Amino acid sequence: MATELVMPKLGAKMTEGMILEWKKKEGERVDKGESICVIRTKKIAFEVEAPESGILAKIVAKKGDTVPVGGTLAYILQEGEQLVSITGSGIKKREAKRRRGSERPYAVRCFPNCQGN
Amino acid sequence: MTLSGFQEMTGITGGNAVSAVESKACCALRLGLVGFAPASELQNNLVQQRLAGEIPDTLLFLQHQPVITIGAFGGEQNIKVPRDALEKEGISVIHIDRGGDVTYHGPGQLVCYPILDLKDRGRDVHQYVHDLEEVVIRTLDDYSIKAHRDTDYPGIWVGQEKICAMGIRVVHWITKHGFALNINNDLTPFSYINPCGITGRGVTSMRKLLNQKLEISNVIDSIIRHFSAILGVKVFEATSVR
Repeated sequence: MATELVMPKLGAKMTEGMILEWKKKEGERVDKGESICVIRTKKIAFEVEAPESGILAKIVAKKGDTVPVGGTLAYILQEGEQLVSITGSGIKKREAKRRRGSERPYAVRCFPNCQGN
Repeated sequence: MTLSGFQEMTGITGGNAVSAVESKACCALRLGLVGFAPASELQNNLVQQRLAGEIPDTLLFLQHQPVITIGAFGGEQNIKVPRDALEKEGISVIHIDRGGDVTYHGPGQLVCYPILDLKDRGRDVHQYVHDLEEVVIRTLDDYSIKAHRDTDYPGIWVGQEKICAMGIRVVHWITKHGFALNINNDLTPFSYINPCGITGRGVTSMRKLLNQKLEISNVIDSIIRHFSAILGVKVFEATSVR
């Protein structure tokens, strides 16, 4: 089932973070706990770890995007799973700033055995 | 942290080492003048050892040979003079992975690199930065220098002039890089850059403000005292360094 990588909350006062760098490309394998991207909040560059092992199937938030805490950064799929459809027209910087953390930019369905979001 | 790791790192043995490990002590190392590359390598090694639980939280105190570093948020456009002019002055330019933009390090400036496990500190990186800032502000207050944060600009300021730069990276919740406090250093090289990417503001040093050269080891003592109080840890000075 697809695992969503979200903007982590790195402090009580953190509301959003910016993508500094993706260390992995779409389609690459990632291991649980491995640094997958780097985000910026205040004076800090923070390496975000993969929450699960799998394939980095879709990067939603691109380098330079500002994303609220809890907002989607990427989706990780298990091997053998496929993204069947993605809806949504891609993240935009201003949209990302406005979007609430609970909303999802993409509806993801994958095959087999995957829950939609 | 393991007892043997702590003992090996600090040279402290016996009951003191046991109580240090049990109280989650922090170990301070005074390294003197260190090149940027070996200091980076040391930090990376310590991060891995801290991650493995082999060593305690660690504070590195050192000075760098002249170097301009470009952090992960920065770009070459904030260096205002040609590379060959910098080379002539013996200043190298290095891209590094810390947070923040462009800054300068050189002898007489105190650099502090805390290698801390934030998993032990509520996983709050903003609180960590706030605590580090407070350490610097109180240290300067010991010298009757009234310094402050600026909501718009990172670092620690005295009036409109920056006295301390900050830039941090967190890897698997272990911190690296830290802050650089201008004590006795020549401030001229800051004119070759837009420090931290900020234009229209100046830099200053403790020496400039107090009109006297300071004993850097005394400033380190002050930092350790405030670090201990603010972060709530006992700090042990290492007697040996691997």
